[in-house]
Amino acid sequence: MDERRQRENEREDAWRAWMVAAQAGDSGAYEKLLLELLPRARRQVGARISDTAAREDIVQNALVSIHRARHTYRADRPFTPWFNTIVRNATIDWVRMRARQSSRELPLEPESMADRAGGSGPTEGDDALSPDLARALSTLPPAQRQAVEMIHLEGLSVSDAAARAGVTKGALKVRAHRGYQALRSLLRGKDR
Amino acid sequence: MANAEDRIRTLTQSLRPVRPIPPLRAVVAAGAMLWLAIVLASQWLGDSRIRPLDHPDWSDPGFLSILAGLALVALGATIAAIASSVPGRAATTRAGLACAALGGLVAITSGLLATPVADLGFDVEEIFACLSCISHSAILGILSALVSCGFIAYAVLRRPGAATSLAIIGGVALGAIVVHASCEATGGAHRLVSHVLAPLIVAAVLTLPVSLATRLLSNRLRRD
Repeated sequence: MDERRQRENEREDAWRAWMVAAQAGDSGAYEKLLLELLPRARRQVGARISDTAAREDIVQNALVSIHRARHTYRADRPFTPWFNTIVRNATIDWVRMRARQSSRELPLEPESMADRAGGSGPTEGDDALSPDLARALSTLPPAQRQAVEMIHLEGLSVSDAAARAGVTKGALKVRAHRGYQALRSLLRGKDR
Repeated sequence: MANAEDRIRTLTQSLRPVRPIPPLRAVVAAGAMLWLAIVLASQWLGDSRIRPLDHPDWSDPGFLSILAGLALVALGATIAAIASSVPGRAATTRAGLACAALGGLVAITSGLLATPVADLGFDVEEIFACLSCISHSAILGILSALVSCGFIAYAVLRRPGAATSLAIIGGVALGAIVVHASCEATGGAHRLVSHVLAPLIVAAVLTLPVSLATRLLSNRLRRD
């Protein structure tokens, strides 16, 4: 029991030291810290969320949140509660966002269900899309498609989506805007 | 979509040094020192003069318990506001909220007990007196509230409305302590509305603009 506690204390000390180094700009220590925290974050999220794709989404959001909140960690405080709170908040935010989205979504009509059963086109991540929209989305350049997917399908904020894509908020807005324009013209062309 | 390991690489590449937040007690102390400086300045200027120590009110339990309640509200609400914007400080937030709730209960109960039912009517003059006390409380406490809001904007702005309203309640409660200790009016209803409830009234008015300003400041400070 004491040995286990000692191991936990050593791990806590290492995390604390890596985080302090990361706050000073040491990217090596930061990478070590995040890679070591990753399985723990996956376990923590997995205890509440069973869907694997959603779990991975939440873990990535939690990583971005840790990055943005790294200045709120103080070396004189324990590291684990700080980390656990961020992961828990990321999970809660995702569940709330999902609930908001599903309250806005309309149930599928039987005809469109039949369409989907017989339809072709992209399937991964496109479960809530009509076949036309999913097909139009798949023709977009990857950067535009990613921007539209992150904002409209995953419900991320522009800041979070930009952080995930590794671009500025302005660049992400431009990508999403071009994506919407392309989708609009593709879908209009299909209607005519 | 990129996996978590790719995300870690992206985040690591964009890493910049950051300055850790100051200790919470330093933020509380900064707000209190600022309040003290404003109180001393107002005494020096002759505004809101605090009762002399030989005034009979200083031995009145009702008067003192309102002061104690306001002090608890100020401390608890300020602690809860700033702790709620730091991950891992949920226990401190809860303790602050409990302290503020206890203070509110003490102040409101004392205010109600000191207010005879016949004293509940207000005329126009009394309404102006109330407004004057409430605005004085706001002026004396708003800078301390803004110190807390600045910290909230720099830390993690998770619930801007709740955090800024707590910061305003805490700051204005500090102002209300001075107003209660200096106001000449002795009516129970006046004390209840314009001293005890001043933090809530000011928070109801200022929460929206201050939380918007805090959100804007937070967006400016967040460069990642």
